Amino acid sequence: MKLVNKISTLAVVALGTFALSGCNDWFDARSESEIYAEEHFANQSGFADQLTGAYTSMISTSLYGMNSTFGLMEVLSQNYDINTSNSTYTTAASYDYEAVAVKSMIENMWNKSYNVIANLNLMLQYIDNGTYFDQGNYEMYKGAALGLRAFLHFDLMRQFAPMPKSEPNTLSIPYVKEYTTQVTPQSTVAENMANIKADLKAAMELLQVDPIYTSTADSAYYVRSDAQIRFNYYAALATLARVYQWEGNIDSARICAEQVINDDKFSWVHYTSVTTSHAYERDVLFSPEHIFRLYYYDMESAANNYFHTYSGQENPNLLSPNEAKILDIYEVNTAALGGDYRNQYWYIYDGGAERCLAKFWQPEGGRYLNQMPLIRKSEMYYIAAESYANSDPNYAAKLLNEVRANRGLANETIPILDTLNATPEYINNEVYKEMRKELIGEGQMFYYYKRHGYETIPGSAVSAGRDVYVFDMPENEIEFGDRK
Amino acid sequence: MKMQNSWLKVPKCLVALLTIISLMCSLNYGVSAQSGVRTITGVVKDIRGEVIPGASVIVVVEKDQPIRGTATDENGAFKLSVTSMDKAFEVSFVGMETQQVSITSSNEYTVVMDEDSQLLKDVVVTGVFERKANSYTGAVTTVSAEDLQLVGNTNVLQSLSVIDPSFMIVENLSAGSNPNALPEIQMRGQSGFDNNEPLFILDGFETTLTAIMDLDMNMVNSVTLLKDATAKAIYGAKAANGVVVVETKRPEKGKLRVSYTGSVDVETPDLSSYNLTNAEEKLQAEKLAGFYTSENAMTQISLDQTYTKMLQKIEAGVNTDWMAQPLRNGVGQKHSVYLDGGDGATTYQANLAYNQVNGVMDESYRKTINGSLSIVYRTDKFMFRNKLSVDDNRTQESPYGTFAQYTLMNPYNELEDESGQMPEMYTGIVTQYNPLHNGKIGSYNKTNYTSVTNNTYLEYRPIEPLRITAQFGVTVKNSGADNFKPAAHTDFLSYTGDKLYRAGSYYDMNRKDNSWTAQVGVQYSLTKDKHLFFVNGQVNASQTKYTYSTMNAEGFPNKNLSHVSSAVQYAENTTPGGGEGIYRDFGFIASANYSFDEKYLFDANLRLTGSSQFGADNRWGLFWSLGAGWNVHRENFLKESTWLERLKIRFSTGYTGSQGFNTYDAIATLNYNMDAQYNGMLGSYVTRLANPSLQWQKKYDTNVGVDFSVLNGIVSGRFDWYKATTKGLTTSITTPGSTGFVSYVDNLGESENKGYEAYLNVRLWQQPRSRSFVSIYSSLASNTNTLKKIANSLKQQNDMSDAAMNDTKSVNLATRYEEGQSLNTIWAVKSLGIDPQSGRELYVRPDGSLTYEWNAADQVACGIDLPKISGNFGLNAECHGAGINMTFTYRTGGQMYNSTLVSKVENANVRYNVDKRVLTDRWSKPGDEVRFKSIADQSATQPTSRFVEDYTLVNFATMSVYYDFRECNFVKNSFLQKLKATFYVNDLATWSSVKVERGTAYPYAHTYSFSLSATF
Repeated sequence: MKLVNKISTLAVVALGTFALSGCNDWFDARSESEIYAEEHFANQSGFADQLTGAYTSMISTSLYGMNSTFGLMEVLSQNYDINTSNSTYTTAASYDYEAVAVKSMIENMWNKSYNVIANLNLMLQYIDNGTYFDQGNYEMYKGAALGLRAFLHFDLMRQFAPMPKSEPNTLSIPYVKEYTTQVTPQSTVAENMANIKADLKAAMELLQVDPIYTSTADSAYYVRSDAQIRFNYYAALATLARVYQWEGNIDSARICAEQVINDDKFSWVHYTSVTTSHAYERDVLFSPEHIFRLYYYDMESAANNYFHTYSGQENPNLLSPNEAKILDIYEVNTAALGGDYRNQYWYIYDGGAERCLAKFWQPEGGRYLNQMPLIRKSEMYYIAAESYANSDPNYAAKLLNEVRANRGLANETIPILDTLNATPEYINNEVYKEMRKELIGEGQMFYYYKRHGYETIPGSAVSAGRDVYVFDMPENEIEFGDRK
Repeated sequence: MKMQNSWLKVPKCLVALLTIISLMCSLNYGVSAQSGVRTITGVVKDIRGEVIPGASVIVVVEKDQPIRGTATDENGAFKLSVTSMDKAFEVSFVGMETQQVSITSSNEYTVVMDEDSQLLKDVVVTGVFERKANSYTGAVTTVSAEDLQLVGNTNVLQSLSVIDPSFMIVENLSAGSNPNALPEIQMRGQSGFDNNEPLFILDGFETTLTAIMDLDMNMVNSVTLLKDATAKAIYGAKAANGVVVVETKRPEKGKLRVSYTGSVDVETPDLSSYNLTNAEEKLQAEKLAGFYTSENAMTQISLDQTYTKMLQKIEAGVNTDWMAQPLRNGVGQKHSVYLDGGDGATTYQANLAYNQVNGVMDESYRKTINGSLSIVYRTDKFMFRNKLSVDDNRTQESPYGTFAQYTLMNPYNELEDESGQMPEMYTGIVTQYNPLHNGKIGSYNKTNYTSVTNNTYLEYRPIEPLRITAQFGVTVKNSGADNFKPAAHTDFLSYTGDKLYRAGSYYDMNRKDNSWTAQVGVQYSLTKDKHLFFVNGQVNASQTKYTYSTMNAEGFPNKNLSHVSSAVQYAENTTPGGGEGIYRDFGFIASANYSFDEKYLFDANLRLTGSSQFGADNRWGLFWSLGAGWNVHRENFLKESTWLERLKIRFSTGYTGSQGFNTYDAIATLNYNMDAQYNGMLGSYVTRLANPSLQWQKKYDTNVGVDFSVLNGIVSGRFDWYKATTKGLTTSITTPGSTGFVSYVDNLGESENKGYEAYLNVRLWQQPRSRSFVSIYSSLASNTNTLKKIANSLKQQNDMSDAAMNDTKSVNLATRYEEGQSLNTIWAVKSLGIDPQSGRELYVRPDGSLTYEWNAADQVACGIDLPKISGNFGLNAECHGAGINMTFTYRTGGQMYNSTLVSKVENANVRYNVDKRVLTDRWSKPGDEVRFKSIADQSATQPTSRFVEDYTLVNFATMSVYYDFRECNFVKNSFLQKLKATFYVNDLATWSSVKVERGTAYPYAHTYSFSLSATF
C-alpha cells in the first residue's frame, strides 16, 4: 500500500507540474500567414505599418478616393453638371438618399470610416505596452493615430449629425475609442465635439516633436513633403480650426487658423510652377500648400473614369461643371477675373466642345502625381477671413487678397478687393465665392452650405432642410446598434 | 452462478458412447497408449465457488485424432481417461471462458471458470482505457470485426450505418455511389449549424474521416460508438457529436500465421429512379409545349418540316439512351494479406492491402494501398508496442462530367452521325453539346495522398493493480489535387478571338499535414471484498500543423502538354493561393469508477482541455460526466430467476464540447494590403473583429438506458432515452458598422436534441457445438432537434434570404432558422394545388387569404428533412459453416422536398430531356385537375408545399451468403486454418414513397462482391 501511495502521489504531482509549467506559452502557436496582434505591435514598425494601412484605407473610393471628395460629396455641393445617363449621381444630386445606389454609398462612407477607426483603436491599444521606439516615434505614431481618429469622427459628424449650435443635445454618432465587439453607445452632438477636440489636442501635444513643427519657416521645405502625406502637427491644428468654426466658436477658430498661417511652414505655390506650358511639370493642385493630403496610388484610373472625355466621345460618367458654370464661378465675365490660374489651368478642352475639370488629371511623366489634398493652406485664410468679417472686415479683405495674389489675381492688372470699405456682407460673400473657386471637386462646399444653413443649395431647387443636411445612419447600425 | 440446466443438453448417453469409442480408439493405438492410461477426476466451479454441471471436458488432441471427452454431472464432477501422451484438457461451457488445464501427475483437478458473455462484449474499448462492460454506465455500441464484415465489405462507415441507426450517413442524393464522395456522418442527430461530425479515434489517436473510410476492414478488431456523456466526457472538447473508436488487430502469439482476404467487387448502375421520356415521347412533349407552332406562316412551314424530319428519324429507330453512355459496370478488387506470430515475449504483425474501387461512371476510381508493421514486446511487468503504417491513396473523378448532363440530352440525338463519328454538338430546338466529348480529350481530375503514421505504446505494471502507460504518435501526410481541362473542353467554348489562347485550365493543389500526440497515463484498480474501485488519470498534448498552396493556370492548347508548367499564365485575376495553420492542445483526464458487488455502479469523468484556438480569456474548458448504474439481475430477488440473465439500468449526465468556428475567430490578426501601396510602403490592417471570449459549444447530455438479456440469452437488447441541450452555438453575429466590421463570431444560440434508441436481438435457435444459430434483430433510432434560441443576426439573415428569393426567383429551398423549429425544417409556401380553371398555383398566406403570387415572406414550416424514426431489421443464420445475413434499413416519419418534380417536370425546360410526367400530368386546358402547372407556363416554381412529400424509405441494404469451410475435410487436413467464401450484395432494392431522382451528379449502384478469406 505504501508503494502504491508513493506512486500515486508521484503521478498526481507529475500531472500538477505539467499543469503549472509554462502552459500558456505552449498555446502561442504561431501561424505563418496571419500575424498575431501582440507580435505585430511588439515592434515599432508594426505601428508605422498600421498607420500606412489607415491612410491606404482612407484613400479607397468609398472615402477620400472618391465619395468623400470629388464623388458624392461634391455632387451634393451642386458644382457639377451631371450627364443624365449617370443615374446614380443624378439621383444623388436630387438629394434622394433612399435610392439604393445612393444609400449604399452613404453606408459605405460610414462603414469604411469606422473600419479605419477600429484599426487605429487596435493600434492605440498596444502602443503603451512598452514596445521600444526610436526617439520621437512613439509621439509621432500615437499623435497621428489620435488625430486621425478625431479627423474621421469629425467628417462623420459633418455628414451624419446636425449642427452643434442648433441641436447640441441630440444623440448622434458613437465616438468609438476601442477595438471591441461591444457596441459603443451614441453620444450627443456636444459630447462628440468635445471628444474630437480632446483627441486633437492630445494629438497636438504629442506631435510637438513633429519635424515640421520644430523646423523654422525656411527649413520647413526639407521636411514638408514627408509631413504632408501623414497627419502632422498642422493637420491637427487645421482640423481643430475647422472644428471650432463648425461649432460657431469663431474666436478659437481664428486663433488656430492664424497660428497655421503665421508659422508659415507651407509656402504658396510659385507662379512659374503653375504657368508653365508643359502639363507634366505643372503643379496644378498647388502642392506646397497642402497641410494634409493622401497619396493616391491609383489616381490615374479615377482621372480616366471621371475627368476625361475620350477625344470628344461623350463620357457619361464625366464630372465637371459646364462652361457656363465655370464662367460663373470664376467671375470671368462679371468681374473680368478670367486670369485666375484656377480658371486657366483647372479647365481644359479634352476633345469636346466644352472644357472639363482637369484638376485631377495625371499627365504622363508628371511631377506632381497621386495627390489628393484634404486640407489646404488657403482654407485657413478663409476661416480667418470669415472670423474677421464682423470685427475687422478690412483685414479680412487683406487676407483674401493674399490668397488671390497667389492665384494669378495680383494687384497690378486685376481688380482687388476693397480693403477700405469692406462690410461683413461683402466679406462673407467674397469668402463664399473664393471657397467655391478654390475647393471645387474637393467635396467641401456642402459643409459650407450646411454650416450657414442655406435654405436651398445654389444649383438645386430642392428645399434643403434637415433631411438633406443630415444623412441617416445605415440600417444595420440602427437595428443592431439599437440606435435612436 | 446459478444452478441451471443449460438447454444445450449434451445427452449423457451420447457422451458415454463417445467415451467408449475414444477409449477403444486409444486402445487401437497400441500398447504404449494403453500402458499410460489413467483416470483423472475433477470438479468444475465458477469464480464464486458454485459448481457447473454440463460443462464439457475434452482432451486436447491432434487434429486427426478422434475426440475424447465427457461432461460434468450435477455436482460439477467429471471423470476423464487420459494417456501419457495427453498434455492438457479443455473445459468449456456456454457463457464462460474456455480453459485449458495442463495434465500433471496429479489425478485430481479443480477447474475454476470465469464469466465470458461473448468475449468481445466483456470489455468496452473507449480508446483511452478499457472498461468491463458489466460495470460501465455509459451508452455504447460495440461492433466486432465479424459483425462489420457480416453486413458488407465496402468500408467501416458503410457497415456501421447498417448496424446502428444512430450512426447515420446523411443521404446525399447528388453524390450517389461516387467512391470519392466523403459521407456526412451524424450520431444522434444534428445539434449545430454545421460541423456535426463525430470524433474519430484510431488506436488511441485522433484521426480523420478519410482515414477511417480508407481503412482496410480486415485490420479492424472492433469499433465502439460512444454516445452519452459518460462515454464521451473523456474526450471533452471535441466529443459533443459522439466518438467513434476504432481498434485494429493486435498480433497474437503462436506460429507464423498468414491470412489472405481477396474480393472481386462489381458495381452496376441503379437508374430505377429515373423516368425520362424516350425519343417519341420527347417529340410529343415538345409539340405540346408549342415549339412546333408559330403564328408566322413562313416559320410554321419550316417548323413543320423540322417536325417531319424528326418523326422520320425516330421512326428509323433513333432513341439514344444517353444515361447509359458514361456508365459501366465497375469491377474492382481488394486484396489484403496479414501475417502475425511470435513467441512468448515478442509478437509481430504485418499487413499489406490493396483496394481498388471502380465506380459506375467511366474512369472514376479510388485506389488505396495500406501497409503496416507492428511489433509487441511483452514481459510480465512491461509492454512495448510500436505500429508503423503507410497509406497511399489515389482517386480520379470521371472525365465525363456530372451525370446530370446526360439526363438532359435529348433522346432523338444520335450517337454516331452518317460517317460514324461522334457529333460534338446537336442543333435543333436547342443547341446541346455532347458531354461525352469531354471524356475523350484527355482531361483528368485526380487527387492523391500519402500518409505515414507511427504509434508507440509503452506500459509498465510495477505491481498488478497499477498500470502506467505512455503513448506517442506521429502522422505525416502529403496530399495533392490536379484538375486539368485541355482547350477542347466545353468549358472554353466561349473563348474565341483574342481569348482563344487562354483556353484550357489547370488547378493544382499541394498540401502537407503533420501532427503528433503524446499521452501519459496511470491506471489503478483496487478490489476489496465486494468493492471494486478503478481510477485512471492521463495527461495529453498534441500539435497539428498544415500548409497548402493552390494555383489556377490557363492556356493549354494541346492535351498532351498537360503539365502545369506548360500554362500560358495564371488564370486571369487570380494569384497563387493557399493557407496554413497550427494549433495545439493540452489536457488532463481523470476517471473513477466504483462498483459494489457488481450491483451498484458509479462512474465519474473529468476532462480539462486548453487549446490554442481559443482566445486568452477562455483557453481552458472543463468537461465532466457522472453516471450511475444498477445491475438489477444481481439483486437477491432476481438472482435465482431462470428467465433473466441480465437487467441493467443506467443513467448518465454530463457536458462535452465541440468547436464550431475557424482557428482565428477568437484572436486579432493582421495582414498586409497587397494591392495598394502608399508612397511605396505597404500598410497593415486587422482582418476581423476578434472575440476573445469565444469558447467551445457546450452540450449537456442526459441519458437513461436499460440493457437486458432474458430467456438464457435468447432475447437481448438495449433501450436508451436521451436529451441533449447544446448551448453557446457559435454563430456569426451581425454588428453595427460602428464596430468597424459587419459581423463577428459569438456563442449565441441554443438547440435541443431528443431521442431514443432501441436494439433487440432474438436468437431463435442455437447449436454451439457446430456454431450454428438463427437470430433476428431489429433496431430503431429516433431523433428530433429544435432550435431554442438564435441570434438576432440569424433572424436578419432570414429576411435577407427572403428578399433574395423574391428577387432572383430562386427555386432552391431557403436556409432559414427560427426559434422553435428544427434545424432541418423545410420552408415553403402553403399551396392548395393547381387551380383547374387557370392552370396556376393557388397559395395560402399565413393569415389564411388566398393568392396566385408567391412571396418568400409567406413561407411556413412544411415538414422536416430528417426521419422521425430510422432503423434496421434483419436475419442472421448459420448452420455448419454456411450462413446468411439479410439486413433492411428504413426511415420514416420525415418529409422531403421532391426537387425532381420541380426541375424535371414542372419547371422542366422542355427543350432538354424531361420526366415522362411532363406529358401526362401537366395542365393543358380549363377543367384539368392535375398536379403540375400548365406546360406552357415557363415561370419558376419557388418552394411550395405541393412538392413536400412524406418520405418513407426501405432499403434492402445487404445480403451476404457465406460458407466457412471449417467442417470440410480438405480444410481440416490441410495447412489451412480457415477458409471462408462470402458473396455480398448491397443495395439490392429500394422502396421509396417519394419518386425522386437519386444519384443526380453520380448515379447510385448495386454492389456485388465475391470474397475469399484464408488463413494458413
